[in-house]
Amino acid sequence: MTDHLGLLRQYLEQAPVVYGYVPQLTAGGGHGNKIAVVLEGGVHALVKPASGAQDGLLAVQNEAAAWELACLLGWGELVAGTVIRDVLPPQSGAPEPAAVQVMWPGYDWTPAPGSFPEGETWKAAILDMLMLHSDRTNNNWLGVPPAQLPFPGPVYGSRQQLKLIDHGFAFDFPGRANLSSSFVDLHRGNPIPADLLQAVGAGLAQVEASPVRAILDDMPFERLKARFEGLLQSGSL
Amino acid sequence: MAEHLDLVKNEWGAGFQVRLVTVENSPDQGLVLANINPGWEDILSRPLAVGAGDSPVYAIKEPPNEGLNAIIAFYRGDHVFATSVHSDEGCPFRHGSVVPMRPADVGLASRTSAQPA
Repeated sequence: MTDHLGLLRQYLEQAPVVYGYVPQLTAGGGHGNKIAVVLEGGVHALVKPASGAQDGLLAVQNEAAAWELACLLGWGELVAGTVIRDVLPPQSGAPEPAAVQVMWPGYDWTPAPGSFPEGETWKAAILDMLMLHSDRTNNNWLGVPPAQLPFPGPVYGSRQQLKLIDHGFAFDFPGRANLSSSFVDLHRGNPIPADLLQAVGAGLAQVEASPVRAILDDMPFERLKARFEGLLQSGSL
Repeated sequence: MAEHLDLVKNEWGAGFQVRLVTVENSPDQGLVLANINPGWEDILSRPLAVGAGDSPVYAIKEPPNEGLNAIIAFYRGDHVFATSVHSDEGCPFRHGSVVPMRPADVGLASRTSAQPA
């Protein structure tokens, strides 16, 4: 990992909270416990405590592992910086592990996969294949910056980039060890571009010494390595 | 308006929640969309993979109750989610399309990296 990403990890793990806020409305009327915080220096982060989901500690680990995996491949621009910290949520008052991740400043929900450049969708497909993402069919990606607004016309003219979100249900998550990804569907059966295959090879060479190894349990880590090897052997999705 | 659910976008950085589209259970017409933000008619026409390994469903074409349940099951993320089904009177957006988030005291312990450099 390059120095600036290591410094980002360190910052996210240690920066004090300036203030926090919580949504009034939650999914399905349930008791969501996600929290927004502003960290010292002005960085906005989303805090996702383990108690917010079944097998929540695994989901927290997977969120952090997804960012580290993207960084390992040199594709850290696709996933927001994410670490694991202990949080004292206002809803429960008891300390627990949480995923703490940088927020994208504005976004559109799931623009059509084909609206992004092929280089980005290929990287997303390879990441989903490696982490065995089970919840990326028409779900869980963003277009940044936003173009579809509640009023006509874009605010700024920058090209919209692909950002991948919500990686709890990945890495052989119990009961959900099925690949489901619109990006894999987009490229399935096609040979992986040479430069991206090279990144997969370099990633496999470094994965044992990477933060991914420190985060994942033995079984999902071994299966991740096997998927690296499978991709390299086949050279295609 | 009959009973309905709202799809909601968390504008985390700005600190508010905004309604994206309303899905109404109309006794005469089945599921009907209202208050549609740009693009959401198209997004809601896509197949939803609700459970791992399940066949995708086209929620808007399903019988109304099944369609609403599929939308609630699918849209439950950090950025966009579906509310439960509610009446007009109980609608959190009855006074407008935006709901503010609330301030909260949050403690975050400093951590020595579990993700070594």
